[in-house]
Amino acid sequence: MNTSRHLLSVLVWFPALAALATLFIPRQAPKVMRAWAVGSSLFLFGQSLQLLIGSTHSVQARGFRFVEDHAWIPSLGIRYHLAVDGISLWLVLLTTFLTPLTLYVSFGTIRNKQKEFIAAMLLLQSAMIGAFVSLDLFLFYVFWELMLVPMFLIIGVFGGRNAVYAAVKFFLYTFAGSVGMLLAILYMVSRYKGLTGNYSFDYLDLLRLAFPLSTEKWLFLAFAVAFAVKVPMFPLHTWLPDAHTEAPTGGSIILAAVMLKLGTYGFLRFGFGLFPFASHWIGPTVAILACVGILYGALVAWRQHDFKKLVAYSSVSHLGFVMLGLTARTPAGLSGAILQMVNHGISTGALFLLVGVLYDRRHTRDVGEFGGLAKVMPWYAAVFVVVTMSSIGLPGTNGFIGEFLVITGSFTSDLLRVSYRCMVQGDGSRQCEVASIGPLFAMLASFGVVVGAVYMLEVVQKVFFGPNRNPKNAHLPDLNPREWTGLVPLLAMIFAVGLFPTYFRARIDPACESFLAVYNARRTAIAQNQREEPWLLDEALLTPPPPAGPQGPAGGHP
Amino acid sequence: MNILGLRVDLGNLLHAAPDHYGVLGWVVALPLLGAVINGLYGKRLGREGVYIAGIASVAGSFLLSLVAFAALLKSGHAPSGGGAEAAEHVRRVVSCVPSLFGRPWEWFSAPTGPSTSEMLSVRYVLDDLSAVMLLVVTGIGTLIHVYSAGYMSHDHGYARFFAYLNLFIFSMLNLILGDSMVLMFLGWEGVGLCSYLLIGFWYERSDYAFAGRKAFIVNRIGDAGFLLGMTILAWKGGSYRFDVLREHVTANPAFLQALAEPTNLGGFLADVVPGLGRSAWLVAHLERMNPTWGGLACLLLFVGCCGKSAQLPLFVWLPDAMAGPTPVSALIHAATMVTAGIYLLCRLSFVFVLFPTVLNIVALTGAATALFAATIAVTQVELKKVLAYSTVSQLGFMFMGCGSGAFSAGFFHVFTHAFFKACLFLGAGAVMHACHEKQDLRELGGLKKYLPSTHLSFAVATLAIIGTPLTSGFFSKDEILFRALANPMAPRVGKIVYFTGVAAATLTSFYMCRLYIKAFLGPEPAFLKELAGVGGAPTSSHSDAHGEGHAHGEDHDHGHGHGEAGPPSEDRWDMKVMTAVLLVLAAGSLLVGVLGLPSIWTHKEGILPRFLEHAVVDVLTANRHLELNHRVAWPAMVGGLGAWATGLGLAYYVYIQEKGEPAQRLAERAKVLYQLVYDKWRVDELYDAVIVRPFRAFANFAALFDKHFVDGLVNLTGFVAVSSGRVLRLAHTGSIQVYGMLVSVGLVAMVSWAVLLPRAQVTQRTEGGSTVLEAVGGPGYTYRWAFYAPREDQPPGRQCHRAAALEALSAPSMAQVEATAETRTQQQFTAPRCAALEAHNAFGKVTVVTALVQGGAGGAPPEGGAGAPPTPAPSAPGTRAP
Repeated sequence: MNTSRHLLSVLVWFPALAALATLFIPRQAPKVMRAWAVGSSLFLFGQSLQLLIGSTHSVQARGFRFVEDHAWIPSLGIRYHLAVDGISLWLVLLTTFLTPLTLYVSFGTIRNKQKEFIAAMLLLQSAMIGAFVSLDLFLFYVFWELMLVPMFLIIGVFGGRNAVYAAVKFFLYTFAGSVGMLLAILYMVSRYKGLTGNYSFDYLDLLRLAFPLSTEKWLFLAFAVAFAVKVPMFPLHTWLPDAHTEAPTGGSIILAAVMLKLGTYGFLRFGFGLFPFASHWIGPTVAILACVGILYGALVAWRQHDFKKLVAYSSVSHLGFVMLGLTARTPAGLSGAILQMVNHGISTGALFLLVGVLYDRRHTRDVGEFGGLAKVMPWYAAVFVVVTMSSIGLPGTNGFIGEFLVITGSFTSDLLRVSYRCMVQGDGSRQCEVASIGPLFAMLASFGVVVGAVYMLEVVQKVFFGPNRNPKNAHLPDLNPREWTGLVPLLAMIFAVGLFPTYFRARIDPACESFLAVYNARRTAIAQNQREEPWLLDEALLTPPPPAGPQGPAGGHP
Repeated sequence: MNILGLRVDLGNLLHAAPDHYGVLGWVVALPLLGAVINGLYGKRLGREGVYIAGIASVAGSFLLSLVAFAALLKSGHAPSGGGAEAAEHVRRVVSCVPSLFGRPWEWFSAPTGPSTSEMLSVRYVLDDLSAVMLLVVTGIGTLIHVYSAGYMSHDHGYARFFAYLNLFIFSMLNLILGDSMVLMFLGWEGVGLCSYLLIGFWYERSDYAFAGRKAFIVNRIGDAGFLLGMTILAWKGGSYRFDVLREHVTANPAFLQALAEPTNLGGFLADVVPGLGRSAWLVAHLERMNPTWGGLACLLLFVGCCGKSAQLPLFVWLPDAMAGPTPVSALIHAATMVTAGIYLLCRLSFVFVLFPTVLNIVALTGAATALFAATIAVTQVELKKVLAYSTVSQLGFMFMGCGSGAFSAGFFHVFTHAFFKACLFLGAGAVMHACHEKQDLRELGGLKKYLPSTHLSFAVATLAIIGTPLTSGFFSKDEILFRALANPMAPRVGKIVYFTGVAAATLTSFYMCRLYIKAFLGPEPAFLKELAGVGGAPTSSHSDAHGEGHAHGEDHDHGHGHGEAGPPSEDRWDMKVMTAVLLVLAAGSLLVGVLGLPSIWTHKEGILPRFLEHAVVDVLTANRHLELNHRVAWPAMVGGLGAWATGLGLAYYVYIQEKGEPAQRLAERAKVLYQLVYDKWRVDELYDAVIVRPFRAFANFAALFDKHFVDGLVNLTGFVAVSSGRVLRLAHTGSIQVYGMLVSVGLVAMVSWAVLLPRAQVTQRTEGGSTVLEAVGGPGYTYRWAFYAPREDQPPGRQCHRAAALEALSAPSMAQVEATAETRTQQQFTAPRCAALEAHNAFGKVTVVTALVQGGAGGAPPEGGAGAPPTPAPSAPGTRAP
């Protein structure tokens, strides 16, 4: 079926329709229902692969492809504007890749209310893809909030003992975080109307807006809080461990692997994209928080006894890397951050899957309950060690590429700067020395790499090595075919990204470069031309110069 | 043959096409293949299958290495026939880029600056330096694989063992042959992983697993240094690739300048970190701490070397690593992996020579480690522990050489050490294998009688390591000591290093002899006699029946047993295999010194240093070298010989003549000191107290902080919200009246708020030729009107710029402000204008910007406007009270 003309619409709406259709499958036919769920999500994954090949469709300037742009609510300037570029491409694919896998694995454990589970998962997929590909801020906001509902249900209905507490906390925390964003969007739109006479929620239109720094700061913060909660960044992260511990395995996988990426994605696309000067101004602070997140997340993860909490805090640490790469705002840092988003999705998805395997057998997540499992579950142990290596960034696995690019990218960043040794001159002006502090952040982050090894290897030792003393663990069965089916694609991806990252980065790098070109052009234009009131930027600023040569698969090669 | 793009032209193996020398690719690929086969199908292959796959893959790799080596030598000859002189400066290189789907395998592009990057291919390069290392690793690796077939014959984890061992060789080959620092880092961390897996091979012992973890984490600290150092080097030196970097550093002043840029680290910290700037003394000292970027890079890389090569302060993992099976100790923790640090220094010698301060740090660290580890080795009682500390000490010697600017000398010691230390470890393994895992020197003795071949090889290797003249250890150690004494960059440091080195060599000589005497000579211990009594004379009667019982012994400590109840013997097949390997290595330890005869004997450089001449940049030039020979070389050698003789004589006196009594007396008299050294100077305890515990405590604090404070605040917010809900619930009385009252109060509040805020709406109409603008307001309002020219360059609808409106309203000149305190203004325009209104009341202010205002009615020209002045001077404002 040739769907490439409306591919993004298909990707966004098909899961929702499939979810609706699920509701009409009788409960008495669970096999049909499961086959439908896995089949339809697999079909969608197949469709989404067209994103990789159909490169010529509806290309818009600035690398946006598969563009669908129609008026939706014309009186308010709200458009149905979908497009994908190198920044969102792999995240969309990650979503379509993980959903069938998660569904299939979940059927092993979720026995009751399968129908509701399937419907919620598919609806969630719709919302997540929608949020990734929306270029209209209103549309984005709708999908952004829509995501909360199915996830709320997945945690609350299918979760553990404290599920309701965790679900409500998750919902309220993220919801409250995004109120400011809504206000900021509305403010921007009203300013846009004031300046142009038209309403528009379109990302590409709003890029023309420029604000005085005092205003831009507040707008950026409003967006940043919404995204920082979702990422989650220290200190707004505490909903995550609760949500993860209570969520069912499938929910945890999707939550960690995809949903958190919406925070980092939003930071990049909207936070940095719309507010270049303010984000540059606050950049070092964000980088500090990112580094704190890396180290703090790792340290707290180290002291956890609950397996899922441990993985949740490790997510805080890993997403700190992503945030650091983003704040570096170098091509390598950005590319590394985006790759690290995908990597984290793969590795942490696999980790949650593996933790779920153990939970299904023993119904406990207490690390102390285990020991010496390598003897009874050798394959499980082997896979766990491989995923651990990916998580701690061993070269050859995906984690290394992301962490390496983030560290080197932030080390060489020329945008992470501080002024110091300021002197007040005779005429009252201040003169400062400016230093790049990227190296300091890189050093902190590489220390995080060490601590990452500390907590992951400690848990590996506690669970798999030593004598197998607990009689309950004496006869645990090794991985079953269903679990293998879930794990093998993830393992394959770990090595695919680790060994052939160029293939993935070939799509990411051009987008990063054009994003940075626009970002820097807007940043300098706004910084050099500060005014009292919002104003409009020149359209020419928003069109990056065409790439110097044909973009080979090498991507960012100069 | 073309598999995975690794083309092999079978017709002409020695012909090396540029970047397509497939043999080299297979050298790397074979061990990986072995690892995959053994890892995935080991159980199905059975014992023999695993041995064959495991050994053949490495042996094949070794044979192909020899072929590649020959190709390398051949490539060195200038094809034009220019002779040796012309070829001298042509660096011999053979390389291979594996291709994927017909394209060279590009790994990823790594940044070399804020906006520049470099594409890193998977490219394997054989040059003079890597060729020697390659032969050592695959050669000794093959021998140890063969040995392992015997040693692990009773262990049920043999498939896993060989898979790990093969994976290790693969990683090591990446480390050696990788053409860039990043590919080297892949191997660097890969060998760390294999080391971790193999130290904790018998994972059911928690302490073994812990030793593996400790090794990994300590190495990771070093690896972080490597990562940062490599980043700086690529940033300032412009490349991750060794050959490009070398070109940049040696031929491009711009990069040299970048490397020599100061970091201003100390001054920066003093200014930025709060509190540091308060103390003038601290600031002064911090500002002196101003390394160059290149120096910092080298220092960080050296931190990486300290981790991998077990130098102070990161050496603590290596002694514990002896928990792994003995072949692992021999291969990974003695002969190959731990020398990777020296290999890295040699690889980057062209950078390190630029930073003498760093080299001094390297030399001093090496010297300190050599002596420090040697003191510990003197007191240890476990066979493998002594050898482990001896390895740390010998690695220190290698760093002494490198730090003195004599990288080739350091590397020569890597080469010889690989033979004798592998032989010693394997000998120790043979002893343990034969003696029921006993390795306590206090329980061993008299093994000479039972294990003659092992004894012979062990004796030879001991002679080599203590530097007996004409053995390999003598030549390599002598070269290091000589070059340290002749250190042209820092004579004082050179002298310190030299004398520390001599002291360490003396101790080496002593403790190695002690080890040998205690294990092989002396009286037979009781258990040997017992075993001899039980099992009868050493015979081969057990050789076919052994192993069955223990091979699958689940209850055994770690599954590794030996099926013998009898006394140690070399007659079993497994022992035969092992002793054969030992004898080969012993021969190597005796003979390989020929490759590096001292220049004062032959009046020219040794074969190996000459071979490495172009690959490794030494500080001494040839001329300088000869000049120094006369003054320093002989004294240096005398010192080395003195160390050898003193240690040997002392050991003979103490342990043979006096049967160890002086040692016991000394230990009793200086009990505290003895105990301190015996406890390895309590470094582990120190680290535990100073680093591990505080760190753990801090993590505990962070976890509590997170749970109770960060999350507590969140829950507090929730609690406040819920509580206020509870309070408000009091209002839910169910009384309609109360509800009504609340609703009305709320309504009134809302309405009045809405009313009180200033609001203004401007209407526009034409009255008798002039435009009337009127604002709808309320009581207590004040108004300010402003008119200003629209911006012609803007599209319609956006010409009345808000910023311009504000500017006009706040303009000090009142010329543009036509009406104040009025709701209504009447104007006559000749040209389109924009109007702005500012409405004030007690509760705030609002600004209204109108769209374009035309003179007259709508867009029509104003009536009677012809006579109006050319300037847009409006008529007098008409006023009307609201």
